[in-house]
Amino acid sequence: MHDFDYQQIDDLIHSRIRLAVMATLASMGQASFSIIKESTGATDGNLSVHMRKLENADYLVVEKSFVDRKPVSIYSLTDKGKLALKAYIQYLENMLPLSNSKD
Amino acid sequence: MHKNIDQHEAKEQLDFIRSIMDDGQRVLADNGFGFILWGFLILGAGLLTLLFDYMDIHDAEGWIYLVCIGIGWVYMIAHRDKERKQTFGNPLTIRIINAIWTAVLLAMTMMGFLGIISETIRSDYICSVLFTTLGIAYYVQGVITGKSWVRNLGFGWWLGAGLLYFINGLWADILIAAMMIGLQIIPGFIFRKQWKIQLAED
Repeated sequence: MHDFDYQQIDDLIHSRIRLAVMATLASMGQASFSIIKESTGATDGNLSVHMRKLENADYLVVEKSFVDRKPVSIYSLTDKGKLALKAYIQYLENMLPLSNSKD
Repeated sequence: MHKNIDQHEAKEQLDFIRSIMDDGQRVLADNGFGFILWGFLILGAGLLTLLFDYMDIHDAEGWIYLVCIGIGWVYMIAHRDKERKQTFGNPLTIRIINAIWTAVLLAMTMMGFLGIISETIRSDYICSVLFTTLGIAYYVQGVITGKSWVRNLGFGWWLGAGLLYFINGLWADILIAAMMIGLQIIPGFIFRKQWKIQLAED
């Protein structure tokens, strides 16, 4: 179980490319590098750097396998990553006037 | 070091997340093998029927289609898990597309066999009925995945089916073969090519 502070912004996710990666994987469950690249619009090198940061933080996991006898890397969010994204969205929603007025 | 963001930026970030997730719902990476397999099976069944007709064997048609369609269903059931593992996209989108194709193929199989055996559908015009149904699956898949060319394949099937209500014989056979190649097998190879690109290691 990971505790995320809903009052603090997660700097790791608070980057357009890393946020796009997290949102893509949250939507699709799992995706290849090429699909994520298409979704984020990032270049190979740039995306690799951001993906590695997320991987090092245990926000995503990569599974290497073979499809049609070719190596394929399939990425998915870890439970920690899902909670981090949820906390990040919660933080943003808390900042909006509508959610503040509910409290 | 934590950054401070204002309401405007928070809304922008939330809109960005929503747009990325919406786009993700449209992604479907299908290996196309099912399209290719069914296309070749039906085309093969049609060609075998013509060959048997040429050899004056007229009571084999039902058996030929039974074997070919049986092969298709056995493959689909046996390789269901493998196919699922190789298909990427939003889980709900995949479930909807799979459900539509299963329902359409089951309906076509029932109409094709039960309709003819019970003589409620004339065998000369069975393809027009089946292709009208097939168009639904292409149309829905195209709309859900946001691919207009796939949606237009649905219109292609409906157009061809419309013509087949009025023609039969050799011209109908030629049209059926052309539709099977142009609207089923070739799109299957296009799906396969796109799938390989989507899975390619960079």
